[in-house]
Amino acid sequence: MRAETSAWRLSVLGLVVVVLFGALFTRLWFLQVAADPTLEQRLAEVKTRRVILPATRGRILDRDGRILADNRPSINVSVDREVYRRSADRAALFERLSPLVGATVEELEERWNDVNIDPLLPVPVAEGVDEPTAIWLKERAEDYPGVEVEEGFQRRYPYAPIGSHVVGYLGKLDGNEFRELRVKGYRLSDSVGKAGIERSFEEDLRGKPGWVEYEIDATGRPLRLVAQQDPVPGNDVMLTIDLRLQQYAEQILQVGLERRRLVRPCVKENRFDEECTVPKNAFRAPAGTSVVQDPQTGEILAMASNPPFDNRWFTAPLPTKLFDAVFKARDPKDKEAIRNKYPALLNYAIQGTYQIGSTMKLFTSMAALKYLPSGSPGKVPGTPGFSAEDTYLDVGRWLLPGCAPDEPGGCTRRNAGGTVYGERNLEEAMIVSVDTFFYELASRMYDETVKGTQPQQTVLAEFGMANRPLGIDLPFEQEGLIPTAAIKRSLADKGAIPKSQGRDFFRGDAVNLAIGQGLVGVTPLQLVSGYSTFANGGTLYRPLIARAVLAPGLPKKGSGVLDLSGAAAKVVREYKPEVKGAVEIPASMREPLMAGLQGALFDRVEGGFQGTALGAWESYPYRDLFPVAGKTGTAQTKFVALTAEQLANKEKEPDFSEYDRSLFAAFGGQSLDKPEFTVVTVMEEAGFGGQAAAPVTKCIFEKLAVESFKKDKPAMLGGLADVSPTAGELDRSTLQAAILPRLSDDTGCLDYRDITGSRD
Amino acid sequence: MAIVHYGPGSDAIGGRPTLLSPFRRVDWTLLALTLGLIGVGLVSIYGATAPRRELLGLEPTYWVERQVISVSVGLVGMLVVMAIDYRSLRRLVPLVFVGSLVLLAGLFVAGTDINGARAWFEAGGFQLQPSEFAKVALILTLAAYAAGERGEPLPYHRFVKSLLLAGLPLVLIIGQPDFGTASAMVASVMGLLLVARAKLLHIVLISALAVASAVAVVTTDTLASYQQDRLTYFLDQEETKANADLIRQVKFSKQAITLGRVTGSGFGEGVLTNRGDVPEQRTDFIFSAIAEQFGLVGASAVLGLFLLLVLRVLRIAQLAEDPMGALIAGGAVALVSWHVFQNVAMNMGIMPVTGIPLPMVSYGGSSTIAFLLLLGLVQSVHMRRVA
Repeated sequence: MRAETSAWRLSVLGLVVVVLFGALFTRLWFLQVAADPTLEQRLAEVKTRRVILPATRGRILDRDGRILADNRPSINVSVDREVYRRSADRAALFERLSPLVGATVEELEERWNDVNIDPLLPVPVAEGVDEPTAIWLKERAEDYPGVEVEEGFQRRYPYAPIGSHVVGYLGKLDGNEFRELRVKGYRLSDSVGKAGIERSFEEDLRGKPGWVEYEIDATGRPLRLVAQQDPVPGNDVMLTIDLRLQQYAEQILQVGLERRRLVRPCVKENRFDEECTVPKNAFRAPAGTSVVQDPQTGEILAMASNPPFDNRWFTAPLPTKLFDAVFKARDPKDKEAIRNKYPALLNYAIQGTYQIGSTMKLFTSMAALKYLPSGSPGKVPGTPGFSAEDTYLDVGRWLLPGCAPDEPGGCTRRNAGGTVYGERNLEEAMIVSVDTFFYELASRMYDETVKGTQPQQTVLAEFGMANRPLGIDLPFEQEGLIPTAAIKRSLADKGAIPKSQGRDFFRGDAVNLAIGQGLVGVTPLQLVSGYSTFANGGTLYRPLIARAVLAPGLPKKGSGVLDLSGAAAKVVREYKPEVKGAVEIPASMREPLMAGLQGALFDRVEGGFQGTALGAWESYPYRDLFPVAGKTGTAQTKFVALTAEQLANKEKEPDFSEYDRSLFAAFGGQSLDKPEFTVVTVMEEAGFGGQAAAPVTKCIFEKLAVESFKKDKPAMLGGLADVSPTAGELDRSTLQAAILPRLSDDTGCLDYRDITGSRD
Repeated sequence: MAIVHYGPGSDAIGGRPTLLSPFRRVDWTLLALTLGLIGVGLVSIYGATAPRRELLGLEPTYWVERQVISVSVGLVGMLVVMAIDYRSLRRLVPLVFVGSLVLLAGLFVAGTDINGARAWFEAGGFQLQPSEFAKVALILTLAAYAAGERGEPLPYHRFVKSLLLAGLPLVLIIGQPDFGTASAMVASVMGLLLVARAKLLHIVLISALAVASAVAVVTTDTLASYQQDRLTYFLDQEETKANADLIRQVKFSKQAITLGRVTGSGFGEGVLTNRGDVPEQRTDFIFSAIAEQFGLVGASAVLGLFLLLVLRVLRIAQLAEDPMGALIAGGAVALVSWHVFQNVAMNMGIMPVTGIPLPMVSYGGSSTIAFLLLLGLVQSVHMRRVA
């Protein structure tokens, strides 16, 4: 049969071949002759690409020109997610990249999977790659598709971790920030200040990015420069912070907290007792803050917050583990994480609101002296007044008049430890901190002033403690919580306090407020401003954290320090002392209170009672040369007002701490007529104010005294090099080993150089 | 029988046949077409890469130089194969076949992944793609096995055994996975069995089965998603995140071809080509570069060269001295035709993107050398038809 011959079969094959080729010719003709007549025109448009040139971010300086935040040119390598979405490709790439960028394959893969990196952007896999590696990668762009090598800047914090809470850190824009900031020319890949000065001075620091426009080929490689706009570098911000003092305050606070963690609460007040050294049930002392202010200007000289963090953590994407440790702690939904009530990123000086205990008594006294004398405006006519000489007989307990069962607190109030002090005047009551004395004052103010006068609240507001922030140029400053009838009603409406308590500002509230307990919240910054206002004779200044914004370009003088001799010409904006309010404090009020505040540190009163801070301050060597006055505070943390966040999460009860909060507020200087420094120290769950916060504050004053003496004798000037960037870190076991043998020496001031022995 | 007899030993008159004597009956037309296509390839690779590399400040002739090396190796190999009587290869067939299987299997141990297929050995900057050689080895093997003594129709049991033989390398190639090469292998086997006079019904059935299993594989998620993308993008043409690159590749390829119009934009003047818009342009998408630079005229000429070459090989199949020779040439016809069709069609967006090259024109050593060896075999068939 013909069909079965090879020739016939070959013809079939030939036919198939011809048909296939025929199809190709037809398609070709359609594509080249018949299709899309406008294609040439559309393709003739030149593609260009605009590349943003980042502006050099402004530097952050301390008041002496030490560079707290700087930039270093940095070559960064990133990988396109699209190109390497298959894990086999990625593994192969990471295998090749790993030795080049000096990271393990696992680290690279971790970066890739990091949920905190924007999923739409190339994944940054390495920062600070060296020049030869960058050139090597660029030359082999064809072998490394999707791998981008970019030049940029990396933020650098030369003195970190010192001052991390103040300086803050940068981070990538999140979605909300981007929506808000895109109009200002931010791109999703930009960094923005997330905390501290980096955030509050973002506008100044950022500068203005420039751009270059290139003609590019289809793979995006530049062919020709079309136009260019140079970036404008950001301005420098000079802080009021003195870094030496900042470092000292941070270290002494850490040592102070560490010291408390080695002892347990003891019955005997003001004396160290060997039996107290029991690891079991030791104070937790989990957090604290020390703030130093210049009362004559409102400038903040140091602001230490503990637990510490290191803003260098944020100069590269955080490893997931560290990220969780830092951020998950704040997640109220995560039961495991909420245990960390004291996240390190909080700046407790402005973000903690506290019952301030007996440090409140200064303001209670001021209110009584101003509003209780006969004939004064708010007083009910015909009632006896109050003066500093008036005495009150303390019998160890005080009965709340007209006590109603649903009022907060018990009807019978006792002094701390049940002590009976006898007959005392205002000065003595301040020295030994007689609670009943101030209950009586508050109760009388409640009765003897016209309803609605609110003497306590009015005076607190005059001293800066109110339901609003003070306006320091740092982000997230909290407002205070000073109870009034209106505030209590709104709290009851929100469910933060029981309805029955929300009806009015009761007598019980007034007496609680008198000793800084109950429903009250004050930030350490407000407390330091309040004491500064008293110290300077009645001027409430806005607390300043920045001295000036300077145009870029100041040269360096030595390593890590700017030459400030040309700074005057560079000033863009200066922050002068800013008066927020004034209080009249006549000598008749100032003098007895001043005597009481000094006595609390250095005196005893009749009957063998000693000043509440005497135990810590007895050893202060500069009582005459550098006098100090202050007040202890011990807050029983029975009630903490719920924060808005806690309310939002419908938490019934705040997490109570077991131990008292320790506070100390003091001011001093070469003369108490014109004090130069106000210091407030707050230590969580650390016991009596006189035992924890007072020694820390005393150490800071010793340092301030010594530095002041040096300034008087220029030959002794310490020199700029005495902040050591490495002295910022010591692990806890080293600290404890150094503290333990000196535990009974309540008064010694250890800074890290004492511990490491590096003092020259 | 269509085999034409020129008379016995027409070149051997007056002496014994020498090693070189068959070279007097080289098919010069086929050789000219082969060299012509190689020339087209070198010119095209230069035109597709050099202007762009020059723009980027890179050595412009880099790829051309590498291809010249491959071509030289391939031509030498072709000459060597031509010098050998294909009939004497019968004894070597088991060795060649098993060798190709060993290489293919070795990929699973020491192979390198490129574009998702584990199809390459990589060493010292050189790459070897065993599947290219396996196609040639399979044609030779089946030609030796399926050829009847006197050209009688292929009996059923030999047909089945042939399929089983072909199945061995096919399974290994699908395992890489490389469906383009697998399809080419199926096409060449079917062509070869067609010439071997297997039952037409069987061939149609097997071909239908191959197409059906391909469809089944695509629709039942057995493929890695990117492979599925390659095959399905082209059915719905709807751009998704996953197949965007493919859509873009084919879109630019089609645009480049369109831009060539009738006369082309000129050598080295391809706009899209020089921009580097078409990925893999020197290899699988070389046709788009040819069509852009040389237009309908040039692209048709290249297709014409291929058509002439294929028809010439078909003629050699007709003239072949024995069934084995005819089967070799028949297999070659099917393989080359399928490669050209599949490759050019995917350049023009009417076939799915599978990574199979345009024979002797696309950049790539393994493919070029393998096709030259195959054409050497075909030449050998022609040269010995009366010896």
